[in-house]
Amino acid sequence: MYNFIMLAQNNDITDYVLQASLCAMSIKKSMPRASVAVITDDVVPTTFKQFFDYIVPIPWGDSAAGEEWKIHNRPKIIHASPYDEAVILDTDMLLLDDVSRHIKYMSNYDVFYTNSVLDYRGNTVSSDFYRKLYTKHNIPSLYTAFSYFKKSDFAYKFYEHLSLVTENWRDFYKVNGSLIQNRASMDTTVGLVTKMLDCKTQITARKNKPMFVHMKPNIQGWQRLSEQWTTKVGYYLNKRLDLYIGNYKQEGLFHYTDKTFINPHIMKQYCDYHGVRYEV
Amino acid sequence: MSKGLLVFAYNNRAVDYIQQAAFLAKRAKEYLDLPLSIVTDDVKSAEKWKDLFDEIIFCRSSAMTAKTYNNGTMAKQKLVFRNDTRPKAYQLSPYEQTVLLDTDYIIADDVLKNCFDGPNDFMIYKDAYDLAGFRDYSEFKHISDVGVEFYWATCVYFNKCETNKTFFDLVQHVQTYWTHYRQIYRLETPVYRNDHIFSIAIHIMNGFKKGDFAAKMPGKLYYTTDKDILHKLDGDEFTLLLEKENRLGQYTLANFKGTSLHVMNKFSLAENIDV
Repeated sequence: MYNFIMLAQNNDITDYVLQASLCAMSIKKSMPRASVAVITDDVVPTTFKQFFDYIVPIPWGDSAAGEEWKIHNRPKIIHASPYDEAVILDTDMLLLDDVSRHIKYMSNYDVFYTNSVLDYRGNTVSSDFYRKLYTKHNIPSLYTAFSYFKKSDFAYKFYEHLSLVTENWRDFYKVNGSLIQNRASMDTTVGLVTKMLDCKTQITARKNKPMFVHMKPNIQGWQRLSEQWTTKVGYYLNKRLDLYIGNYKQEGLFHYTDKTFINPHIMKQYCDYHGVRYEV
Repeated sequence: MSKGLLVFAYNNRAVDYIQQAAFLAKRAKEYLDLPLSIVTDDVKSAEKWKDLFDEIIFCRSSAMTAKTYNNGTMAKQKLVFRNDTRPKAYQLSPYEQTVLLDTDYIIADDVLKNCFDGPNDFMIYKDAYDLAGFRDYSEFKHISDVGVEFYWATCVYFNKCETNKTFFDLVQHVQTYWTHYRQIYRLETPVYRNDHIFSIAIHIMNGFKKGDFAAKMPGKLYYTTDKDILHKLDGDEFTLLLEKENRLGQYTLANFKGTSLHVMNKFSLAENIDV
């Protein structure tokens, strides 16, 4: 039995609960025996409640109140989790195949983050286009869209530090008095905590196999840069819900990143698969 | 099992592809000790070199594509280019094991001999190396910016088997519906290229993902473009004038020895062919 957990907080622009619902539907298709939990204070539409085994309120109030980019509650996941061990997913992920091989590998650790991802053509991403500051400041380059924890002393300690840095990111993100980036991000926070605790070998492999397809546009190996991959390359889901991007069949976990990817047509295809009614 | 080389040669008013094929046949015998058969619509011209060709196979071309042929950086001509019959290589080849070559591939080593005894049914080059070094080769990495991996139809090995028959059937299918596939695969050029349809068919054979249908040909594929000039060819030694970066009309003198080379400048190649 594998457990998946997501944190979903809507803002004025993005319906993260809807993303989490689509992700949950994809999990239930690809790994039907897996359990799925969502941590949210927003309303989960009745249609989608059936795809969550647990709907858990955000504990100790909303630490992201007033923030547009709501990552401040992420460090609470370990405490809110109904599972002793689980995979944490960003909501903008699709599970296209069984990824138990990755989870088995991750479960060798108390906390695990992948350090390697793929582009849609199946190439391991080597570009640091979005991570130049990591290279510059020697911050471990880890991807938090797909991670793992098991409740343990080390995991609690790690998450405690995540919480510390998240709550005080303006202090921790400073190098020589200047902010290295102007908003908090989980990838940076995890990298910094890893550095602070000097625990890289405890939370990632020296070089693990790529664990998901990352669709940030400018790491796709394109000559011409692009703001959005969804306007640059063709994509579709076929009737079996196989996802094709630029005629490449996607496998495993797919991190679409671009919110416009989740359109009524794709929602309806997943709803049709599960036999539930979807109204736009 | 029978082994041999196969080339497709369709002359236009300025380029004698059949003569190139005859020259290649001569070198195939010398370096590989292998026969070469030619596919053409001009059997009469091919018969001038019938002693060099193993078989002369007639196949009509219906293509009327025009493309620019450069002769170095300062001269060019737009000429008819007929390349539509190569997808029929499987059905036309008289050999059980075939190396399909462009006529302007100049054999200068025996590397291709290694195709025949290996475990692979289908081999092709994915990477190629430009002798000039500075030119943008991104168009040879993928068939378009967002497209699938590029493979060179310049030099392909295949044996006769069901899988390869399926592959070449697929190549012909892609060719037949080229307008459709060109759009679906986001080709930015309207020019039909066998490299592109082979690349698309390989991608499909791999199940629309990275795969192992196409193994790598032995050795490396080196090329010079038609903006370079073949100054002299002496046995296995090429003397070349390579286009100089940002210096129109200027060239770098280069020597290349002991390795086969794809020489795309047909005009300077013709000046160095002795057949």
